[in-house]
Amino acid sequence: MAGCYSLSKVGLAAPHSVASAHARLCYSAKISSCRVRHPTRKNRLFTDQRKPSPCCAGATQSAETKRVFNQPQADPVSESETDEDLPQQMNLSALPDRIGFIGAGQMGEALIRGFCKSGVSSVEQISASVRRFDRQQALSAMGLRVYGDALEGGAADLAANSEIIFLGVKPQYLDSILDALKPHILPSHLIISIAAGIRVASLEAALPEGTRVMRVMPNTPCLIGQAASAYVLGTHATDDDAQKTYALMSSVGLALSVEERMMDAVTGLSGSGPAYVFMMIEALADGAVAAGLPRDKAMALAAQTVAGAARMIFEASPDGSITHPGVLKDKVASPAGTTISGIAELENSGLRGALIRAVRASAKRSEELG
Amino acid sequence: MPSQIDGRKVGFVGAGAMAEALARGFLDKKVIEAGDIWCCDPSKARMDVFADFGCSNVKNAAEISQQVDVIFISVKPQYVGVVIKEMKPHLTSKHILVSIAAGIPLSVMKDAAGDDKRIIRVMPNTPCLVGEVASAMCLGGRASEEDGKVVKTLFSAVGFCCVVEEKLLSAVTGLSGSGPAYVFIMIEALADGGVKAGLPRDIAQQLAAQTVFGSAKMVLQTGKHPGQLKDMVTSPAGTTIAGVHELEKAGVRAAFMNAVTTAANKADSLASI
Repeated sequence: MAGCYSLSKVGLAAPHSVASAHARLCYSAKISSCRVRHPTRKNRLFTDQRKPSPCCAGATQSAETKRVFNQPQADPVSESETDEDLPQQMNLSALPDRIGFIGAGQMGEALIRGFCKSGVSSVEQISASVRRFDRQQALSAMGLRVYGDALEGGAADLAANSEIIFLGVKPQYLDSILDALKPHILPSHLIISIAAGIRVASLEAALPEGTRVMRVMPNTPCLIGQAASAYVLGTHATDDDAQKTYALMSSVGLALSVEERMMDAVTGLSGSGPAYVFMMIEALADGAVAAGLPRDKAMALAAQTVAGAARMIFEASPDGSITHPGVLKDKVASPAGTTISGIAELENSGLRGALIRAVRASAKRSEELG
Repeated sequence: MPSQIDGRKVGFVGAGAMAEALARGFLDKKVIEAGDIWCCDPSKARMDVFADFGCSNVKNAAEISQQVDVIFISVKPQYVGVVIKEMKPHLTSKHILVSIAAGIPLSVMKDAAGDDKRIIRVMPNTPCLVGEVASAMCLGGRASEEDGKVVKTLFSAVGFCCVVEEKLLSAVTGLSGSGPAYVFIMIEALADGGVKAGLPRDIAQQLAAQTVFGSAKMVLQTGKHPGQLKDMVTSPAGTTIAGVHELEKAGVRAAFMNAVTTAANKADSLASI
């Protein structure tokens, strides 16, 4: 039964369902009770409501998490599930699958590091097929098995030695990679694509009929294990495939299940969002410099303020639910205080509308390019 | 595990949410041990919370000063002077007094404690509650650079802390004190944009918040200039530069500068009341 694979390693009884196993994987991210609804084919729209503090993914266990572990856990999934108490120190349950990366540039390497750091996989389980010699060396130095150029036999070797195949090449190279891969794909393979803008239908059309495919859209902070990722199930992908994808992508940040028709919007929001945040941080620092702070301290305080405030959305509530940003804003804006005077400036300038237009414009451009 | 502050003991006068967040952070990052933390609070429930994670309790501020070297004054701003005055007979030159109250200047602390004491004023911010503070401190009285380092070590367990002159604390207020509200507005608006483009609200909200968090962490961890990072993610005629263009058209950068400077000016005017 899907989901049982992970539990023998941590000595837990087999779950009643995939959903419980899912919850255990979330606990293994060392954070608080998770309200994950398993992304089944039926409720594909349902998202992972409370991903266990993605902010903590990969971080050392915080005092908050220790405190939460000491408390009785709320049942994270449906009422009919029973959930045993979990051990307090729990490492991420490792997937038994061998993972092969075709193309492993910055993003691919970040994923590999995230998978290994979290324990969901290990260097012994991961291989890569890359074209450039310097990349081959770098990955080999990490302890991975490295195959040569995918177009020159590397794809065949990798496919023969992997159960999960990540497609991490740039979109423009994908066609030839899929050509090279196609003859070596078995029904047991799971293909996970992180190529931006490449739809499930295109992937499936280029691979044998019935191939199980997942499409993932991470974003730039994946490079430091703090991605905001969305994933889409392909036509033949199973619940188990979705669960594995979730487990893998959760090791590098937040991972949410979406419908493919939402992917342009995802591009506009989390894909392009980092640029808007970088601009905001620079402008906040500029304001502080105008008010007299030296540049280096202004920049550090600006970036840390943004990080801390965003983290509050996920962690301000003791029961693990998301706190509405408007609620948090109200809490910190005291009558006739400094904060509300700053807020008034932002509202006067129409900041909110500008951000909405930015997301829309980016989503629209994504649609045009697709 | 060796103490990172040379075995100094820490006490909290006032065991509220901020004090708790600080104490948990200190323990979690192993800056000090639970046995080296004391607190006092009129509420037994609050003292029980601290006792739960291994800290000791005393009855009042005067007793705390006998047990510890670093004393956090974590009461509401209006009580800071009162509390310090109550402790004064028991304070020695070895104590480091740290106030985290917004808007209470070093002069108030000095008047209450006496001229010969080491006093430090910290302006923290709300995300201290989740272990991600952005803060600045200023040194007063006999507080030395070494004392500043001790407090900085403590605060780095819950985020970031730098040293500034007291006159710059209003700028700090305008930026990191009030900044979280600007970020909450930004996150809500990004989520609204996502919803307008077709995402369900809960997905949009989570993606928005995590995008903001992850991007800020990139600035902090890569050490690269945000302008550089922005350039790295804006590919030619791509989706991101289209969004960036909208923000520039709307003068968003000026809006943020205005927010910070206006809030800083307001902090100045409140301080001079």
